[in-house]
Amino acid sequence: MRLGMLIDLRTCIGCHACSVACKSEFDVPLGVFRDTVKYVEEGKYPKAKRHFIPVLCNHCEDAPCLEACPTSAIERLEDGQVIINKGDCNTNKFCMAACPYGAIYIDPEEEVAQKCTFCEHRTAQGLEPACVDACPTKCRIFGDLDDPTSVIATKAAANRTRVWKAEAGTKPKVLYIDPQGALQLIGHEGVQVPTATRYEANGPSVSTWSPPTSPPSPPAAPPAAPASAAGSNAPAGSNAPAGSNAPAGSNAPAGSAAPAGSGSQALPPAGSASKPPAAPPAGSASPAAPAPAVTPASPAGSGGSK
Amino acid sequence: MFGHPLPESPWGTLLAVYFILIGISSGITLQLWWTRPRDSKAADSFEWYGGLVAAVALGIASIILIIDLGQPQRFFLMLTSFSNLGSPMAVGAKLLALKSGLLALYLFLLFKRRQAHAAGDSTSPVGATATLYRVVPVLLGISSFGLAVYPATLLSRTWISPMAMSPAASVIFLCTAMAAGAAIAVILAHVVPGLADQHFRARIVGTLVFLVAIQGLLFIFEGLALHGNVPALSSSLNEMISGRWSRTFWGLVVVAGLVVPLVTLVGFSRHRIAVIVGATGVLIGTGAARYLFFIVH
Repeated sequence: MRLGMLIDLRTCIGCHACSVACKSEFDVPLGVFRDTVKYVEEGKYPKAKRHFIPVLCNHCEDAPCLEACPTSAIERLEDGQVIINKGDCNTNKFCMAACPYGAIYIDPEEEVAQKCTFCEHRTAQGLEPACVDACPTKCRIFGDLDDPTSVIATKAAANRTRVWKAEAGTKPKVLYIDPQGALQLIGHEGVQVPTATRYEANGPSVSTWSPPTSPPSPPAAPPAAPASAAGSNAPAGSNAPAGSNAPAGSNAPAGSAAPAGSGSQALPPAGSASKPPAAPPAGSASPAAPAPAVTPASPAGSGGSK
Repeated sequence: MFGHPLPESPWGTLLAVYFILIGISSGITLQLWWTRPRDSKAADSFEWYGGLVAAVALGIASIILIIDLGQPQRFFLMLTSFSNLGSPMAVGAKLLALKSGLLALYLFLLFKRRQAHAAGDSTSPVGATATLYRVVPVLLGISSFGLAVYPATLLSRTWISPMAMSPAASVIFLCTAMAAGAAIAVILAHVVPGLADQHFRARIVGTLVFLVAIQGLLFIFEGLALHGNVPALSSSLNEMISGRWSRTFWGLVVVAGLVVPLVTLVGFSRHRIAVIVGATGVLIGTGAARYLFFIVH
């Protein structure tokens, strides 16, 4: 058995339901994360795109944290989940220094290293991880990668998948369906987010959208995507492209090139996949569905702070 | 190598000081092994004082390591857990404990020998005691060698110190440790009365000059190796020589650690103060070099 997760970036809408569910499940303190969603913007008007990329511990098959831990507090369960035994952790932080994903943090209350466990306490009872359960678009699939009949294995086989920071050679078990090559845009980041810095620099970033007091001036050129004032998160009076916070894959101009330094495989034109994408699960949002108004445009890595 | 996945480095300045002190302790122990006075009484005194300095540095380093842990009461787990010997930290902690024990035993043996000499007893030890006198220094030298280079292995497994992944990192850590040890030996030989004669002082200063010159060459070749290497390594090099850390590098590593010592130790080798200044410069330079290897990202 080799438990893993498949995240379909085509259907993630960046709602942070997964982050909130994880925070709630484990009482994760403010300022640290087991699971969060990165918002990354790419390109410039009129070809701007925003990607939503959920990130968490990759439960790597060659886990650097597991190899680094001098007290053997980090162990791999038989089903492949990598967990931290709190009682054996002396917080030497070698695991944090070794993990290329920044997935491990020190719990300020318990004074031990912590990270995503794939909700081992839930999966042992046949339940799904809290983040998977909470996802409204079912963009996350959890299951046994070794079982060819499982949903995760079937979907992984039917789509071209990528892993985060493949060059680290850690063999992650969190796979992404990422036809637009968004993962490489967060190649230098990690799961943890510098929340304090963000608040100091930008003020409260979780502000609500409000309608413009005056009609926005028309853009110089009509955008490729259908104009929709409701889909825009631009400040009042600006001429940012409408629909700029739509889900990844929905507003990419056809034929746009992938960024330099992309992964090992050539990327298909934006908005298309090398293989026909699997139909979204019943009840899930279509990739083209308009996204709710969320936080104002923010730099990469400044995702929600829920 | 893989970016900066955490907003801040999980290891701070305390760990850098730990690596510097480990280097000093290892270096002085290796130096006692390498260069010693010909006169047996002077040699015993030199080893005694050197051993004390090594023990103090090791003791402070161990305390720093324990303080730096969020759960210091669980420090012993690094010594008692043998299930992950693939972790450089696990091996390093055990080596640290081994060296501490050996150093304590070595100082005890030296103390007994000095007592015997003071009482006019010049008979050589026999049996198990004689074996201890032969074996303990050898084991101490080997464990010190391991502790001198282990920071490079440890840091090379992290994203916080890309330069530790460079091919010459272990040699630089070894050379800086030995130069720091030689600098301590030079200072001891010029400060503690009756510890060394003129001939031994010249010999130990010569050793220090040799090590400083080797160190300078190593820095040059390291720079050439990193220049144009993979982006993470070459950007770390740029950070060090022309970026945020350039003042530390040029001021402390190059000027204080290489130029001043070479001028004073070669040009004014008969002037006690100049030699002590040069040796102090080497201590500063080697400490700064180890710190930069740790901190520059």
